[in-house]
Amino acid sequence: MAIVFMTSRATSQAAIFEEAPGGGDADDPNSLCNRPLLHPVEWLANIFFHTDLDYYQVALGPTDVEIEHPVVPGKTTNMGSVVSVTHIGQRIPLDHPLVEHNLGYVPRYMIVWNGSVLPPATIIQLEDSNRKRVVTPYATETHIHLYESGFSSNVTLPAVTETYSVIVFKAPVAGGENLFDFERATGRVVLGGGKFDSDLLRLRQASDSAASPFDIPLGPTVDIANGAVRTVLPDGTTYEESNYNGSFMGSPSIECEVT
Amino acid sequence: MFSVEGGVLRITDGERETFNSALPQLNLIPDAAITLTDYSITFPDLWKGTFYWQRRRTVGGGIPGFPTTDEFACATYAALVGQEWGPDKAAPHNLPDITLGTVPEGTDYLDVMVNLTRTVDPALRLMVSIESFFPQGEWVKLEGGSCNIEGVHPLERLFEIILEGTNVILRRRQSVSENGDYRRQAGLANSENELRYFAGTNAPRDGNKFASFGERIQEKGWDDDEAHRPPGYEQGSISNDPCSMNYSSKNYSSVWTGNIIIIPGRVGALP
Repeated sequence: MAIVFMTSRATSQAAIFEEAPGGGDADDPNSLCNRPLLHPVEWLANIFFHTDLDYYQVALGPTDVEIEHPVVPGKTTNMGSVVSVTHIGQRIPLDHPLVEHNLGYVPRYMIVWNGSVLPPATIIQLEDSNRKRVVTPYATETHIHLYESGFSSNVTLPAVTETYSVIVFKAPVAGGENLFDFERATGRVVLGGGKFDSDLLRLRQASDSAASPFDIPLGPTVDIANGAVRTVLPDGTTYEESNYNGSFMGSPSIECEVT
Repeated sequence: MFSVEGGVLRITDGERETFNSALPQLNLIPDAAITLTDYSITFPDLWKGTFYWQRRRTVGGGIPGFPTTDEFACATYAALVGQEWGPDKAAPHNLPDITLGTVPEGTDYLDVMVNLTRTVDPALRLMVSIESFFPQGEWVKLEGGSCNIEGVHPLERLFEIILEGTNVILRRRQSVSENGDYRRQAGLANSENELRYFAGTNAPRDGNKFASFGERIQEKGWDDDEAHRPPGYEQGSISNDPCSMNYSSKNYSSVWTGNIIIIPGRVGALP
């Protein structure tokens, strides 16, 4: 089917879509072939862009941030009095502000680490004797943060330095009335009153020539079994605690880029 | 620049390609969002028995003519047995999936943001809290939908918000390691210094298996006028005052409460 760009002044909609079956006048928004324009949710698989839908428009980034994760000293704690029981290790939580976005609302975000988008509670460092470091990104109305938990045993968890690429997204907003605007002098294309603006970056599936693609998971990335964790990042990188005895192999993913 | 070539629509901004119909962007449907307010994700209590540590020591006797004295003590702990819970497990370990809502046909991607706080804390591991890796009261994006929300050896818990057809599912799992601290055994009958395991509901004695120390239930001693032996193991002529074996008093259920926003979307597949 043909790829169509069409606007409807009556409904203030603009879309790029694949024609639906049924034919009809190609220039009439009400034709069967143009149903994705007026009914995008019913024709989701045909939609490439639609003013009724959101997408991941980039507000800030990608910005590389280097974090020095500190040492977590080894520790043994004797507990009890009549019976001495020893607890091995300790947990030290720590919060790292990554970037300031100041959007005034809590935005969507993605943190890319070693070529994969970072799910919450991801093990980024795993040593023997159950020593590990787990990180969870989160967002506030002003910043993107990285919350870490470092676990030692009676042996110290060593420090490690990692680089995180931070992308902050905003919901695209229509600010004008023109459903299609093309600036000949600059080549800039604006659709849906600004809902799409070729001057701005967005997230999309990666091309073969993408400079820095990263993988986004389309399903779960963590499993637990026998009281232990296995993480399979979208690029296939696996972290598994020694007691884990499950068979989790990860989930499908797609390779994306910001362009 | 707007161009159509070979059935592909492209928009370029100078040298940068900003749109290519052959490389779909991730579209989201905000009007179909599922929003849950003050929603609770509950993890049930664990199956457990009791570890009973009975102790005896002899003091004195260092000075000739002064007799030795026997003293007694005890300590009891909730004892966590190995167990796996989830939607694919039969009773008594079944954690059924929960349908949170439905999304439009064609959805193949979920944008999930959660803001949760633990409102019911589980009992302790010895005297240490079951740790959470989660920044409580903050907005977290669940890439892929899964979240390993809390755990300290031997326990881990996770939840997932996933798509099955057009249903958005909340799935929970909890797991306690079989590689515990001590065997689930009765111990020597006549021993005065012994760690014994006592069965609990769905947590039988089995000398071939292990359990892990949970939170301490009670501790008594050192006393020289009464023993602190467990029921069934009373010996000698002095009175016996056992430690409590009420493992039910240590509840390992956990509840996370807060807000969840799920926006369906479509990734599609490359042609």
